[in-house]
Amino acid sequence: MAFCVIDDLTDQKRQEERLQEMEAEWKENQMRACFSLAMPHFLCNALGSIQEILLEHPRYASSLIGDLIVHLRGCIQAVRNGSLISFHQELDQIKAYVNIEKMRFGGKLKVCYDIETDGFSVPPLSIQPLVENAICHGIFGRGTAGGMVTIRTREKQGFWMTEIADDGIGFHMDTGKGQAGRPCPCSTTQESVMFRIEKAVHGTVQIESTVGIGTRVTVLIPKEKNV
Amino acid sequence: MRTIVVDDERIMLRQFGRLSRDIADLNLVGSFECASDAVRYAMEYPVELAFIDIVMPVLNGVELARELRKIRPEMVIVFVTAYDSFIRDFNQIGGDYYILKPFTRETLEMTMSKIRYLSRRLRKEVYIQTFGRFVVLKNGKPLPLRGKTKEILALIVIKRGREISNEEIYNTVWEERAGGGDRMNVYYNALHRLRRVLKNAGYGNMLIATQRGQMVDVDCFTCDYYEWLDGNADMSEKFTGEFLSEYSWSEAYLADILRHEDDLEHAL
Repeated sequence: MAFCVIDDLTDQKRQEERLQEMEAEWKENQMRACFSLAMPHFLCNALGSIQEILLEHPRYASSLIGDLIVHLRGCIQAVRNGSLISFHQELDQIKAYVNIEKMRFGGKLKVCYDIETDGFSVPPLSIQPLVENAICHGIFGRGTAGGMVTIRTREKQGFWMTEIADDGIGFHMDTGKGQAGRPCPCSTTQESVMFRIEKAVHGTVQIESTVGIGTRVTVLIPKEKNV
Repeated sequence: MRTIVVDDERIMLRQFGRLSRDIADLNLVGSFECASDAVRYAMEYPVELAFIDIVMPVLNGVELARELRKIRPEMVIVFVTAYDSFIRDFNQIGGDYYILKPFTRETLEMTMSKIRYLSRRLRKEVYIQTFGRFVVLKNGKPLPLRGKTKEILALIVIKRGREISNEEIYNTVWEERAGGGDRMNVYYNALHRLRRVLKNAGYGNMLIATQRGQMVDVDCFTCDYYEWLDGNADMSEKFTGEFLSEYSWSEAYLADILRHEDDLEHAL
């Protein structure tokens, strides 16, 4: 009798491990799918705007193309499942992305960089998507009023803190829906980011949001294994 | 056509302004970054055509189309979208046409010609032109009107639904001849011919006889002079300095029109 029970437990453990592996694979594929779907759309929109800017402000258009290249390179690296990068490099990615988004938002988008430390490691394009969500949902939802996104890093006792806060439209934390009951499409990105941060640097991602007020995403990365 | 464009991206508004310049019939009267500004404008001013970006914050393109249709049900609405998944449903979501962005000037021109065909079908069959020579067209073909017969119609049309006495018509068209009595037979014969031509064309009801004169039913046709009187901005462009040029009595009206056009220029 006891013999059979032990056998079942081993089976169960094997099943659990197998499930975890599958989950990891599925999340990675999701992330890749996200990039491959979003990228052409993003490129079309960005190039469409640059096409117009080029006619009157060629220098500005030229710098925007540079930002686009930085962003594309970053995406290639992330999808290749590369090793960790420094937050400093991730910040370059974020700034390039922000420059591109400023094309369509103009003065409606304000970004504040409150960076006290950048000497820790993160998976490539793990923080940038959080900024993207803040802009594309939080700030976009505000319409002509626009809003501000603040990117903040602090060194704490035992961990590194990265915070992305916005004064955008927020969403209902219990339903995941935004104002007027519209679904918030950023959940896939958020999930994949959370997964990668947990797996690669053993970090945690906390999200707080209030409809009509704003959203704050806090990433905590423990210091022990991080350089 | 009085046209507005609505897009939350200022760059796209600029692009539309640039590409739509010099396109026939496209008179861009407003560019809006905010959907509610577009609604407010449409409440106060006539708008015949709107290009709307589907994906917009707060009030998206589909909702905006619905609001605009409440105010101006005959407005032609063209959705502008970067996503072809919306195209399948564009009719169901309240659009008349769609264009994909980024678009070119050619795309806009093709869209305008499609819209023109649609509008023509909705517009009336008979069109009366007064700027230049006097022309009466039914579905683009001139009615068989000549000489005094035609001139009588011109005089009645100018009154825009107001009555003009038979005597006044006779005195104006057959200048300087003393009116009344047998002399007016020549007028009544011409009037009879006019009635017959209109009846054969299916518009026997266009001319209404009153006790002492005639008047026209303005609902039967569109007329460039009427549109100009209504302050339709497109018409100012059509006016090239001539009004019913073959009739000498038109000079008084021409003077009025020229004075008004002059005032407009000074106001600008």
